[in-house]
Amino acid sequence: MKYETVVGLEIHVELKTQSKMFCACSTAFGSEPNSQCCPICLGIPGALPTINKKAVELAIKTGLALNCKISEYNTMDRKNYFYPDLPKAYQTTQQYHPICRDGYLDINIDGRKKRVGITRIHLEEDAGKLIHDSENSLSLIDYNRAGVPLIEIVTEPHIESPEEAVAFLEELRNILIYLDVSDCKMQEGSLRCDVNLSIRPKGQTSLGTRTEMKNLNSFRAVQRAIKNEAERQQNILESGGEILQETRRWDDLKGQSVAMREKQEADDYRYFQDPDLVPFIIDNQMVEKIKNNMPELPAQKRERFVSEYGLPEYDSRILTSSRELADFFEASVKLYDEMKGSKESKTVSNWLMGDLMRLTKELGVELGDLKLTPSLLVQLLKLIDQGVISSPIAKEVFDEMCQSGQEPDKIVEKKGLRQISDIDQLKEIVREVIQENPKTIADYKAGKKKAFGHLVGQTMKKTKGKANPQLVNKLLQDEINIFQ
Amino acid sequence: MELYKLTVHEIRGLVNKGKLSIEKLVRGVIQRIDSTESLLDSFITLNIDEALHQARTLDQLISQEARLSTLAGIPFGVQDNICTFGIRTTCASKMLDDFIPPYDSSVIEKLKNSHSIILGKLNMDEFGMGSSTQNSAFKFTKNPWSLHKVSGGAAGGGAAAVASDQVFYAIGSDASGCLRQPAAFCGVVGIKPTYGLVSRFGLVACAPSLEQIGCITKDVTDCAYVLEEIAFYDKKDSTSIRNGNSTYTSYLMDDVKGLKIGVPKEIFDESWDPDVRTYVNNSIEILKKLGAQIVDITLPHFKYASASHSIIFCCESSSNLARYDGIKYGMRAKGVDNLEELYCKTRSQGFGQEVKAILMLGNLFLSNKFYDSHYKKALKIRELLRNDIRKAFEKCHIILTPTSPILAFDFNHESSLPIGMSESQRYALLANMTGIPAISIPCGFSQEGLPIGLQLMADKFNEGTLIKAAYTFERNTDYHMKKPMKLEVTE
Amino acid sequence: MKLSLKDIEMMAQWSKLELDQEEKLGFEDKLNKILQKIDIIKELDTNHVQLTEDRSIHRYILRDDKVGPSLNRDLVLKNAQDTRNGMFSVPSILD
Repeated sequence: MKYETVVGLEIHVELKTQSKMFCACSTAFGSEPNSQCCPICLGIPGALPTINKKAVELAIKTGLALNCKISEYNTMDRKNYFYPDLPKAYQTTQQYHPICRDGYLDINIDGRKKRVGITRIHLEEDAGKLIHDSENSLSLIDYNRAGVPLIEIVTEPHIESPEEAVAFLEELRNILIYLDVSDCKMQEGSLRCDVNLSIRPKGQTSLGTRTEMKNLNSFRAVQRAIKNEAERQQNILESGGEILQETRRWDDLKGQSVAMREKQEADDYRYFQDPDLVPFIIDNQMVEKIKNNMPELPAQKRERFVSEYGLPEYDSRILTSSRELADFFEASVKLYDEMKGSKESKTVSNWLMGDLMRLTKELGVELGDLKLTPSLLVQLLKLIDQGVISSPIAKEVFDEMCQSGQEPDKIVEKKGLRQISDIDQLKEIVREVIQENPKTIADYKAGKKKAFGHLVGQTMKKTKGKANPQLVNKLLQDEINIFQ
Repeated sequence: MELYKLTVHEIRGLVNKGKLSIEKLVRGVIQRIDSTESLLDSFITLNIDEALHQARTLDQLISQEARLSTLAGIPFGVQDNICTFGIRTTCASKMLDDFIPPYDSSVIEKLKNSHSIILGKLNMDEFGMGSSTQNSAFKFTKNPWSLHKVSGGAAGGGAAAVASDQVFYAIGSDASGCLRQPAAFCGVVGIKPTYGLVSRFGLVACAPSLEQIGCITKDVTDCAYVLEEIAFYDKKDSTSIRNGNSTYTSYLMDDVKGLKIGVPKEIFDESWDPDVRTYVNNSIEILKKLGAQIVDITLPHFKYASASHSIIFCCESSSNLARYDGIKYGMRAKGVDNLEELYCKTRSQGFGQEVKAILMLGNLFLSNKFYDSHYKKALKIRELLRNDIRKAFEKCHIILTPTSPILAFDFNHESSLPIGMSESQRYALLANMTGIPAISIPCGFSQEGLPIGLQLMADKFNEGTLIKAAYTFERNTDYHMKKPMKLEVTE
Repeated sequence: MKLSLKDIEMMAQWSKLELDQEEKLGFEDKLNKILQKIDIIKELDTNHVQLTEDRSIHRYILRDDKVGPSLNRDLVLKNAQDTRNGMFSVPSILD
């Protein structure tokens, strides 16, 4: 029997606010344990919460980007359960009146558009962090993260493959970064994803029993976990077994999941509206204000890069894959165009897509970690245009410039990389090359065109790449003809 | 002169004229506490040294002719569920036996800024769950009018302390009549203001939507003074409400002419103590003679108020008290092997039986199976009650009932009844369910000499009207002048 | 609806209370009596009642996103019975 996979995602996103969801403690990452706590986020008896306006605004912003309806009437509700990382023994969340609902996100799968429904987005608070002291058989608790604002984005079960899930997550992350809603760093836990998965025979409309997968620390883990879980469920069904509704934990090292526990009658969170936080109203004015200040979203930017800069779709997709890169591209193009008085977008694109990508990959860093600025890049392009340096040398200068932040003309001077365009000087070198390579000359004369390239290479080698390539070509031709 | 017998407004006059040293005043009440506390057990923790220190500082300020607020130098007591920075706050529970808050509640911050002096923390029912202080983990507070009777609850400590002149006023909380019923049992004045009028930040509430901070005082004038001080908008409490009108002392007028007082017909039943009936009827007559107009009103859903109040109280409590898990503060059971044991043993050892019953019921009512039939239904009944009250106030300015249909009872009576189902709080909890202000004032004494309380309720933010009606009644009667028997053990 | 011992056990589990047999029986009796009293609400039909709150009273002020002082760490940990390396300590959750 053929099976199909049905996946829904629950994505927790830490919001980029200065202070916590319900108190004024800092949300900064990596401070001393329990140094960013107060009576409110510690749940000390008597302390009362107040709602962070910025968190509400960021949730609305996300909702608008994901085509959601924004709720006018909002409540905060309590989800009651005991766990050491939860100071009040309830999480304040939005069960009954979430801030956004009924949205969607379009993703691109092998050139085909796919729409994934967003069920809801709700505001809630994060829990503290547990550190395990296995030596003493203890768990230690740091409440710095307790009360950090989160949104949870819940999708409809519209995702049908691991690839779709990853495409969705990549697009979502891109949007959230564009919106400046979150850092979306999975390693620091500011983006977390749970996978709800079931399978059913192809053609069946009702859903099968689903499992929930937790502890997915990268998009790759999500991809592997979906593939693995779909196979596991299929094996069970094919051997006549039954899928249990349970929570499973993904072990990325082993490449498999283990059951955490089955759903039980005791799993009743006894939700009710938080009496310490009266319902709050989001009026049209607030929504309009946010709408008017929305940045351009990745999809819009992609289209604009094609129409405005005449870039191929491929370039456009890569350049808009992060807001930082897209901004860098636009700033560089603007500077370069001003200098040249003509549109040279593709030249800039080539440098970013080629050498920049190569360098970041080599060094294992991101654009923001390099000292490259649009101004430096354009200065470098200018040196090439003016014939001060050759293209191969420019790559060398580029690498150095990205790491040191030094201006390209200074690097050229310091390292003596200026292009050799002096005819007499080059003529001498060319003659040397011809004398030293009689066999190659013979090959060339015998009709082996490739041999010429070897002679160019030798000349460049002798000048450490600094020779003007056009000049070398011309001089080699001239000299070989003379000797003939 | 026995300084401890003074009222807040009397002290005010003397201090202003430079005729009274604060240190002497504080020493006076400390002496009074020394000689009566072993009989009454109103306090859980005393703050004597700090109080004397503050008194001396204040005397200096006064000698420099500093302008001080109305409550400056006045010693008061705080119910032990209101957080006081550096002073143990137990909620009368073993769970918080050694809990020392790292912050001040907003109301205490305000009173400290006014230089009022904290004398100590007052006994109560554990976490405010009870109507007699018999659920306190530490002690029962006795009624100053009869030592074998309860002082009421949850704020029994506060009512007994004010009635016996141990403090000049007490700050406490009221979730189901917890300030008014003890005030009635002890013959003093207790007020629960409009929900949102006084900041709850720092109040260790069990039922946030029902509970409100208020005060117990020796008379209505003092009530106006204290209320004026503690009513303010606090951005730290999301339920706090801005209300410009808070000059309650300007309502201290002897005038009820034309005031319409509604008496709900549903309240009369056979549960009333005959003396309560006599004196409440008498009070109605007095008000009528003073020019008030008595009108019949109806509260059709009154009979469902207690049950729905109980449900809401239990539900909110079950969640609010979940944080006591032995990890961050409070008690922690010894010798536990795993996390589940840490939770269960800590909570089983730390909470009393009444608290346990309430937590279990609350969790039941919030569970999937019971949510609609109980919790949600209770909320709907609250909505109906609000409607009843709204309609009633179209016909009258004040609603009158007894504070409690029964008198202060013997110890070990009523203890099996859960909060809110208590006979003595049936009328009082109406104000908690609907958020309106209500005051209890003395209106008579039973044949065996126990005080009887009259409850007046007004529409939201009409504390002024309440004060005016209560003040007029007080000016024309002398129940508030009567003092309990001689209490001093050493005299 | 009458609560059984099993119900009592579930309620105790939700409340994280450990009850011995005698306590369970005691609560079964006591809580059933209370439920009986509360049953009075059953006679009232509230299906028509809307829980729409009066929206005009929500003078709700959302808090500005500004960082304020946190508690001194000593005060954070002072009321705890067991701490280690500046953190709260519990028996291992992995057991």
